[in-house]
Amino acid sequence: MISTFMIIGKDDVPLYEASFFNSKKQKEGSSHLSQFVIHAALDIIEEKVLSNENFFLGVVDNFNNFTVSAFVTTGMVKFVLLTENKNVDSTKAFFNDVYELYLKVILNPFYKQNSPIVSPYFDKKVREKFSK
Amino acid sequence: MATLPPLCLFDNSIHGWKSWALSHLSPVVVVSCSDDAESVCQRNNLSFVDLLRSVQITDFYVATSQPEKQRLIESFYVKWLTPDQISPTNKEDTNKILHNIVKKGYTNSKTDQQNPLINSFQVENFRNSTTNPTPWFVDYRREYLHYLPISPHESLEHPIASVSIISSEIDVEKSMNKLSTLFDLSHPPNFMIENKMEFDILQIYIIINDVQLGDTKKANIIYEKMIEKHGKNKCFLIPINSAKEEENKNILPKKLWTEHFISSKRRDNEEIIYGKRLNEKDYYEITRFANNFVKQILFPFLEKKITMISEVIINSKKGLKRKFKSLIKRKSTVNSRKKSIKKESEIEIIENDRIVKKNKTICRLSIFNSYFENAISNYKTATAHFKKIGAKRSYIDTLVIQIILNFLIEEKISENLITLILNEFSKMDLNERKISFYWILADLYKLIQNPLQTSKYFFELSQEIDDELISSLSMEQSSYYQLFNNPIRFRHYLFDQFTAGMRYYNCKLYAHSMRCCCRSLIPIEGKNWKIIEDQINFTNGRNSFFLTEYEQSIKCFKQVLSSPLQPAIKQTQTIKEFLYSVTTFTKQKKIIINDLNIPIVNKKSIDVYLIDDYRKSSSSSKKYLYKIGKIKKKKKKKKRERERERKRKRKREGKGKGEGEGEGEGEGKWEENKKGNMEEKKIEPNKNTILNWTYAKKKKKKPNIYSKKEFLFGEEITVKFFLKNPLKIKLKLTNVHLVGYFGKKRNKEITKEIKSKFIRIQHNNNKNGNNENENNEGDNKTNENKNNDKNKKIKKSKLEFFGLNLGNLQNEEKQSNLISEKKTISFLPEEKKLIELKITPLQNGNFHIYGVGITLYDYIINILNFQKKKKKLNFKLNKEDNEPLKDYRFDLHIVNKMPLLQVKFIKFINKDFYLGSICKIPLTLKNVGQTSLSDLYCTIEPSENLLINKKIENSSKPLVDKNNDQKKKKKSKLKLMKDMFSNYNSSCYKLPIKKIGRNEQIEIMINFRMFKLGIHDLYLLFYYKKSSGKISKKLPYRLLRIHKQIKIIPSIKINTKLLPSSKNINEFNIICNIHNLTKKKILKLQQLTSISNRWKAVPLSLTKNDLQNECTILQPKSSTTFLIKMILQKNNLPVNNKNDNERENNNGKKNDNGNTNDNRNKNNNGNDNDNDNEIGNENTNENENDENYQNDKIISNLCLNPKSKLINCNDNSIYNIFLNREKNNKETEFNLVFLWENKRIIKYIKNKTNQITGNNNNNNQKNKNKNKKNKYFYSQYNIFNLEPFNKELKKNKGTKDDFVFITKKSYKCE
Repeated sequence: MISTFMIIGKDDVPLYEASFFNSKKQKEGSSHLSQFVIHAALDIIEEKVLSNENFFLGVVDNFNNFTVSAFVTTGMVKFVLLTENKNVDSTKAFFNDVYELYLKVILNPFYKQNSPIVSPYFDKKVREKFSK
Repeated sequence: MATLPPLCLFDNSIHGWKSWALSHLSPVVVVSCSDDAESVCQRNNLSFVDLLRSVQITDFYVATSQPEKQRLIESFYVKWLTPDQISPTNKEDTNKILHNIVKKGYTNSKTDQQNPLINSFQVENFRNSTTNPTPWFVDYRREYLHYLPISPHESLEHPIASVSIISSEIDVEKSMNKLSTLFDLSHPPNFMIENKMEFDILQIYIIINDVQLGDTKKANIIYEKMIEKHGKNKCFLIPINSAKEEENKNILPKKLWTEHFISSKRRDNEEIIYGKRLNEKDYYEITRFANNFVKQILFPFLEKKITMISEVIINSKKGLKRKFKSLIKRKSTVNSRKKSIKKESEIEIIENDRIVKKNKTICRLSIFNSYFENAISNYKTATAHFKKIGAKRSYIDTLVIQIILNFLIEEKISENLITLILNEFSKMDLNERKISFYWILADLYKLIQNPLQTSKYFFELSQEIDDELISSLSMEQSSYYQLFNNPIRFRHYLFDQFTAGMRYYNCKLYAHSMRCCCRSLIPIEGKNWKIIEDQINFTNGRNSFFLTEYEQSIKCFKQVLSSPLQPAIKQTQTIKEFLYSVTTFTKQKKIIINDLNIPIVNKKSIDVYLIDDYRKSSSSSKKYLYKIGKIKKKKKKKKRERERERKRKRKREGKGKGEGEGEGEGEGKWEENKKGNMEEKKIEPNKNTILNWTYAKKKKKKPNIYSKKEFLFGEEITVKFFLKNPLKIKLKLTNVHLVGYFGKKRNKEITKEIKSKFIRIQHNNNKNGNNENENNEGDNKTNENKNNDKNKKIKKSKLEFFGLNLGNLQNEEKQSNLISEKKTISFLPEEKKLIELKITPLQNGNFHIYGVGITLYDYIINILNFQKKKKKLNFKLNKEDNEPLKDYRFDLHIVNKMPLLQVKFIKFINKDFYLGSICKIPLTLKNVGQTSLSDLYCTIEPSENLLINKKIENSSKPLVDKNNDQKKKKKSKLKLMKDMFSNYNSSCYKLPIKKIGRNEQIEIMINFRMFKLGIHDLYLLFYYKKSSGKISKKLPYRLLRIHKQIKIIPSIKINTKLLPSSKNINEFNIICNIHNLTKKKILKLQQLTSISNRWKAVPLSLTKNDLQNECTILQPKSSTTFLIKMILQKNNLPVNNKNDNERENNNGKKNDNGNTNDNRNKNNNGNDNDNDNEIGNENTNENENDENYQNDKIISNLCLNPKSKLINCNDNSIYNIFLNREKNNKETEFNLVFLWENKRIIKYIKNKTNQITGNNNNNNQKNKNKNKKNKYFYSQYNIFNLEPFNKELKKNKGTKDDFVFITKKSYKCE
């Protein structure tokens, strides 16, 4: 399985996806399993949102060695990260950084709500933040 | 707890929490039946075990240690198992049995399509429904638990008693032996040895007697013998089969037996009548036996054994302690201690094992004996003991049983115990125990209506277990319980269903896999989770292939390929499997598969055009215009620059600083941007930086797609578009061709319908034998086409057309009057290519190009449709007339056949041509059109014409407009043509060719001379018509333009010296040195002539004869010199100076002083002897009109200006020699022309008289000239000769004059 970050908008529409490969083998492998896990975690995220006031929901699900962490904006856009890294602080910082980038995308008058984010700048920055 | 939750409805085996617990905690009795006894029972289609299972043991009282108190045992349950069921001999066989249970449970995926749960999945419906979605799971679970090896259930599944059964049909003598061998503890069965079971178990012996067929007396004898041998308590006689066979009815209820079936074989034949020979009396006998056995034999045996074992344990503990002590005393030395410790540990282990075994037995027995109430306390002590001695497996087992007991008595699940066990599991590798524990937990949570935990433990179970089948089953169960959670976990349901589907696939249960995968698609439909969708479709494609549903398989794979997001390896795999399913479906024949987006056509890039488009204005002339435009721009820029420079100078002087700064910066910007410095620059607010302007590039004009175009019959139409390989692997396309159709509309619906039907029919044929379906299809077809017989015929024909054989398709294309060019294209991964394809319509009328046909991997024919643009409002028109514009790119109108001329240069010599020499270029004219051509005209468009004649710009308008019908009638053809070509300002000549037939070829030759050095563009324009038949009004004629470039290099060099004659003031002597620059060519100098009629040229001295004879020969690279006398004609001398001035005023534009000044300046620059002047330079001035020349006045008394007396001419045939008047400072000139090679090459007209006023007036004149724009006129006629190349043509058709082209060249320079 590959470390994956996804932004999921309303009605479970994926807006953005970034897979982070450590090796060539990972690149060749398919990312469908990580998508499945993230998609399944949405159930738990929706349950947790009701009982949690914070944007950052922490670890919401586990799958084998991987953990699924989530961050939900006020507009119910879900940031979901599937990683092996279990450091909550670094995950939280990553989510906050991406949230700032996401706000910039939303402020763009040419961006249509709940549509896929195709900005290469956004993609580049997200990857930079993850590598940190 | 009283009412069963809906969850349990899915599992018929669990009737309630108590029955579930009993099923786990009830004692096991081994039933060993002899063959004859089994055959007696089988007369009822039942085994003896089946008979015993149906018996319910009534509640009863048991005596305790205190005789006053009796204990009530309620709903006691005994597990009757055969030795095979306790320990299956062969794992593979059991796996097969289990596999078959699941396989038979769900066989046909097609029936699932009718299931509302799949097609329109609604959670509420699902939750309220009472139907079990997985009925096979119950059977599987039961069988699985029974076939599970004994070790995981070691503490409970250990048999407590054995029952040996014989029948009265056996011989009396053999009966005793048989009875003892059935379950002989001296030779214990394998399952007991393998599982290290205790052999000290209760043994019971039974003889059954068939009342109707058996011998009762014999039975009694054997029974008595049995009593003699084993004692009365342990022997039973059970009479059965009291009912007569003739009745052949179910006397007892069927459910009595079927509910307790374990063996899967029984389920197959449900029509069989069970217990047909059993009546109520028989059943009573069986129940009596079971109850007596439990009450009178089993419970006392248990009590006895418990007390005995507990004593043994106590003794063994004491004994162990003693042994330790003695060992330590004996060996007190240091060296021997190590050995003693080893021995101690070995003994300890052995002893521990014994204790563990005994403890286990006592625990097990105490459960059955005390029947739960006291069992918990027993188990608690046992667990504590196991923990103490480190028997972890037993410790876990007892904990598990404690959980069950707690649940049974307190109706609670102790989660502390669960976590305790799970912790133990994490420390140890006890996979089998883990699995059974998860089973138990899932069942427990199911009973207390906790779907979340149930699904969790089913999920865990599926993850832990190695067996794919159980894993898939439990995963599926997990998915269903996700739907019972509140809130519903629909996405988890998807995940679990999919993983279950994948595991079913691994077990080769394709129908199950297909069902699960189809269900998992529902939650993500239309939500853009493409990778998940692809994965599901991929699995479905495989599943449907194995289920021989090839059509479905192709569809699924097609969907995967339509959104290629997978990595390259996966894509290759998908394509391989896709092709395999296609080939198996079509049986190695080709198939049309539409909507397969491989490759992708770029919608925006599609362009439909003709390579030689007759509508367009000359493409070459456009290019030329562009060139001219460049020149003009440059000039303008120069002007601007000049102005800016002037302004800068002013700024420096202190004038207009503000304006100047701004402009200066602007200029700088332009230069920067011109260099292409378009990169972003960061703005630094602290510094006074200037923002750079970026200029958008000019976009090319897009072709107008909103007007309907006309094309000709038989003419190649080119379609240009971009194709992209979306896959990450290489792709090869064969037979890439354009597809089109004639007529108004293509009946898409019919074709689609037929195609799908055809596939279905084909599919049924493949299955061999489903003739009914085929007939049904046929019936449907006839029903649909009842009203329209014609459609029916069309459909039939189309059916053939959409057949799998491409041969039909090709024939169809040929019949439909189309010729489509076919190409083979290969793509690299994700490569984008510009493709040009040609199609030739061979029919008049509306023609529609609708896409590109391709063949993928030799078997799949795919048509990529071209998509039209949406309708667009035409804002140029008024609102009332405003009709939306349609995209007419692909809707073409094909008009009548026309000839099509093709011109090729046979030998276009790219070598350089010498100036003035004849250039010969042979051409072939070929008519490649459908009809013959006539009226062939040709003209040459000299590029220079475009400079001045703005009419040329109008040439982009259709030429047809000029050719009105009325004009046509009045004017002759030649005149008409001349008028037409007047746009090009060139002469048009009819070629001496009457007709060129279809595919006929004629060769001609073009001869021409050029009189200007450098690279020249040669534009040939051919005009022709259709020779016979109807001529389209819209396309009465056709044009063909050809462009070539010619390089002209110098051929001759002439140096002249001018000397005043000593004899006469009006005479001058010219010394000419002519040099032949060519390497091979011999030049003949034909004539020396003066153009100015006021001057006369007279040859002198040596060259006189030669010139007179017109035969001065110049060898290559040689030179010759001769003298010429120039005499001014007195008669033509000007009379009055005033008239000069008048003329100048009248023709002010044509006069120029600047030129003379320039010449003079040149002369003043120290060139005393030589002064070069080239004709063709902008310094030379011309006038078109001869009249001006004739009115010119010549001034007498000329004298040679010492500063301008010599002129050196080079490379040109026209020489201007300027002379100054002595008195009035007026200038005159004479022109010389050298002609060679017997051709009159130039008609040269030149007029120039410049007035130079006195010194006093010079300044005034200069000021005047400044205000005036300097204008020079220059005109020249180029003559082109066009000769027929063929000798025959030369003789018969026309004369040389017919082939001469005269083009007029004129400049207007500023």
